[in-house]
Amino acid sequence: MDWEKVGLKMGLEIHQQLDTESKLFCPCRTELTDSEPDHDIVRNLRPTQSELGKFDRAAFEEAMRKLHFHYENYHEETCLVEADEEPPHPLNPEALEIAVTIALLLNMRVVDEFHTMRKQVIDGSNTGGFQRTGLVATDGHLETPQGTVKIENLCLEEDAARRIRETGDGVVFRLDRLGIPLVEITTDPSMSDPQQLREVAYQIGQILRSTRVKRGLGTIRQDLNISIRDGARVEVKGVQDLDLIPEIVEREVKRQLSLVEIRDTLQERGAVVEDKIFDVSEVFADTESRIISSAESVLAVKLRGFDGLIGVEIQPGRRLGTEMADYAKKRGVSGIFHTDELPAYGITEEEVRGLRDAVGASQGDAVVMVAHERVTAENALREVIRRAEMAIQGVPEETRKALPDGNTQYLRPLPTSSRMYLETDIPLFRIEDDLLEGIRRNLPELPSEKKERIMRDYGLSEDLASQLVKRNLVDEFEALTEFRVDTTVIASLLAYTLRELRREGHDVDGLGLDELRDAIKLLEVGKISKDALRDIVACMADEGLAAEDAARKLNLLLLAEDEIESIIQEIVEGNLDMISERGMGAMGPLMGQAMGRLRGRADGKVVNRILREKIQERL
Amino acid sequence: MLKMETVDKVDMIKNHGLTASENLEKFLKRIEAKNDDINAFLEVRGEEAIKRAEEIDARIASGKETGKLAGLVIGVKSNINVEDFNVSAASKTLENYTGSYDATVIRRIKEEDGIIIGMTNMDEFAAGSSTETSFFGPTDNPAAPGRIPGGSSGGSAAAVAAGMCDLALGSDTGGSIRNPASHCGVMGFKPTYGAVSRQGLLDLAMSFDQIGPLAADVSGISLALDVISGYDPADPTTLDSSPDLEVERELKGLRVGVVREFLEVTDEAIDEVIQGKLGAMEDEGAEIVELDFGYIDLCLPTYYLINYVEFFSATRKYDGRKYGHRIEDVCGSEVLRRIHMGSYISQKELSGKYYKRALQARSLIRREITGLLSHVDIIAGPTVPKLPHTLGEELEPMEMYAYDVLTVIANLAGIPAASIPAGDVGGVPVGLQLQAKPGDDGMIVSAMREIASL
Repeated sequence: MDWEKVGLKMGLEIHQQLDTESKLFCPCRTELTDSEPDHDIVRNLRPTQSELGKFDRAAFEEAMRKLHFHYENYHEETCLVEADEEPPHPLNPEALEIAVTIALLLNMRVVDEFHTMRKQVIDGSNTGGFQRTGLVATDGHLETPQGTVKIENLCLEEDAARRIRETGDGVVFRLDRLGIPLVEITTDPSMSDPQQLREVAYQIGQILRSTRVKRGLGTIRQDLNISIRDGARVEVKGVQDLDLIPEIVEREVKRQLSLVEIRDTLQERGAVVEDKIFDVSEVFADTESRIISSAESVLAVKLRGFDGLIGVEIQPGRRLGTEMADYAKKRGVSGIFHTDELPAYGITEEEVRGLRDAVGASQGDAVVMVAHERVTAENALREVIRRAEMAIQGVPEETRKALPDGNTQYLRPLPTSSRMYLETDIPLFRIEDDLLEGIRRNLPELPSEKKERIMRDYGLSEDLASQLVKRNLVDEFEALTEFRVDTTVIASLLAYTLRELRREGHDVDGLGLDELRDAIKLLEVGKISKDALRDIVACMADEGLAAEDAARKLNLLLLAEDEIESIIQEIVEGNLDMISERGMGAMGPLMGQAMGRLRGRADGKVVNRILREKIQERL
Repeated sequence: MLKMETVDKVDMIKNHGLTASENLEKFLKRIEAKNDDINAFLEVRGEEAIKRAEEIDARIASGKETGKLAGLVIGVKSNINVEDFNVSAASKTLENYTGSYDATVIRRIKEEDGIIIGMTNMDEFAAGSSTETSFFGPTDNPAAPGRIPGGSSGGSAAAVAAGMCDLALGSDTGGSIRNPASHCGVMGFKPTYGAVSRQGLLDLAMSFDQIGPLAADVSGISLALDVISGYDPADPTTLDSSPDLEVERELKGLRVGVVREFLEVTDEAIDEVIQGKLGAMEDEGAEIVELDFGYIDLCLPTYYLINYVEFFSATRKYDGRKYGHRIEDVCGSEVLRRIHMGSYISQKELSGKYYKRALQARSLIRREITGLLSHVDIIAGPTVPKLPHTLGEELEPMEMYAYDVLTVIANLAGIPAASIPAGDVGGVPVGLQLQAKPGDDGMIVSAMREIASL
């Protein structure tokens, strides 16, 4: 596709949790919890009319759903700050330091004063009704093969409460995530090549990983902003797989182009959406269709001039009808029926004719119907009407969710005029030059640089090196290379062995660098063999023993050469018949016996050498 | 009658020379006689106050210990929460709202045996400089009858000027303590931002607001400051340590900054009074240092933009559900103007155009003024650049805002500032403003003491 021609514009917004000791404005840990909450706070959402006489579009939409917000909170894991019952504490300087580090790696200009601001949030995920945020840096850039990309802003902000589940009357949030420090990185919104978008997302990801940020699912969130010339700005949330970005963009462009085409056709046809909702239950009084007959009522609307367009595919497997259904589903129905797909679902051709008659639809008109309890069905059809009207206007501005196949699905309208003002409970924070210089002098290596370096300096394979980098183990690795031991042994202990042991159920998390140091030291001084390392570490983890004690317990301490000799002597003397019979051919079986007794306590090479000598003595 | 210093009065009460009840009685009579004309107090609760005074007298009679404010009678601006009083902010919005708790400053005053006598008049939600926007009618200026008392703490200043109480509390967001103190010929003090807890103060603009005292003499100011300042866990913007109020510096050798631009924007007649006072200080050995401040034109726009945004945010709780009436339905035009402007400016997409620039300008002004202060001990100049207008005269908003040009700087920069009587122009009082470095509240009190004795 010719991106220039369609006027594609894209931007990226990345949210990344920081791995700090405590939250941004209170001393709580930054870990999530799955334990049973100690309290539940219930609050009601009531949108206030703004002074300009308008409801905030997004707030109004939420309010239409009459929500109660439940907040799960804890004695230990959360405090009154998250519940918005206690003023925030001063800014966490550790979080600011990490944010500044990231900003410098993105070639940004760091501000001299950090002003905490309140950004209005109305979906209930922030107990105060606002998110605290502050600008840390501006005007950065990254180089990509497709050209320079400007990084507009980096903000330090609080993560929102975790949405746990929806109940009949509202939403349950958990306060454990609320207040975990996040950086929000926004690029210039004028990229026009999907590959560049992917590349920038990748590079920012690499930079983030070189600093103290959280790892794992949900700790980084990528949002894409996509628009084309005749379309509208759409924000795609929840992109997990960076390789999917070009596909998402392509499919979103296709969707917007198709919607523009549908708009043109609708306008040509003079399409009109009628407000009236018809009760067509009569038509289906004796229907064979299970879904219809089990519903309390069947309601329908007439979309004049829409015939054939609701079934037009706008993304692979998704039609205009799917978009309408997404809106309707927000009001509690499981789906809609439209005449472009009927007869189907057990609805007969005759019933379709009856349906058309009942609403007075002529050729060229489409009918959308919903079978459900009356009030819900009516609300759902109002949404269909709303979405159909938007189709005549073109592409609506929306927040959409990324689906695993690269399609996107309607989530909510883009919020209107969100407000921002000073958080007057928190004094401003001066970013002194000293702090900035200190950070600038100690900027971390980027992951790619780090990988190259450890491959070069320690002779590691690319695979091992990238595992260490990916798992953030390079510091530990380098600490352990103080011992004169094969670096590959150390690297694979960190990168693979520990992971395998964990998977097998050994509690290796209790092992710190000091414990590993002890174990490696035994190897350096020749007290154990490298083959024994794995079992010794497992035993240390399971029983909390020191390395040497574990080795002794497992009988894995290497024997002195004379001890080995005397054991081999014993074996040779017990097998003199075999030796005289087979000569050096007895090596194999006797080596097996010897290793059976000496496994882990003697190096195979040494055993081999001594055994060979002892047999030769007898020949 | 010889005027008695506030601190001497406390001693007298503690030493059986005067009873708290007698002190209170005198004020109640004064209020009874004068308040209908002046309208300084919106609510007076005499009976409770009498009980409180008797209780303090009983303690003194039996030789028990009493607090630093023992028996002093105190008026409170109507935007500070006092349990069981009508905390109306002089607005119809809260006409029926009764305080359900004591603000931290009130708790501290009561702990030191101060007697709260009533709630004073003010501009609606403190959004004004004349006390004319009160829903309960304007306050007259006891020192210059027929003129505005200034504002927004006009009722507190008038109450002190008319001898209706020993001390009064006001709040100062852009000059609301210093401006009426200047117009009414009394002393008013705005502490360093964070020196006094704002817990229990109805917000106007939270990053500027600060509670402070008004009094007829310096000892009253320093007594009150000593009691109300200090860290408060309920207000995260309070400073860890209280300002040192024990400073004693004579005028000899005191480096007094005089900012040329402050005098340039001031009416000539006021300028003369101020020059006279500065001359007297110089005669006593003060060293006058001329300073330049290049951002005087930025001050009002910066101050008002931030004020609007924070005020908009602060008023969102007055939606008619929990407290009184919905603010937009019943408030006056100045309050409504600020709400509308704040709502407009705080939109995220406009923030680059107005609000962000205002915050940047604020940092600039703060840096500039603290830079000037690093060369001197205090900055002295006029408190208000013009005389108070006559009651009922209509002013355009920008004319009204022009009263504040010299006082907003201290709020923008968070520094301490005070106004002390400097003289008069045809009988209308003129105040001298003193400003100092953050935390140097004691330096100002010390200078006030010296200047008052000139």
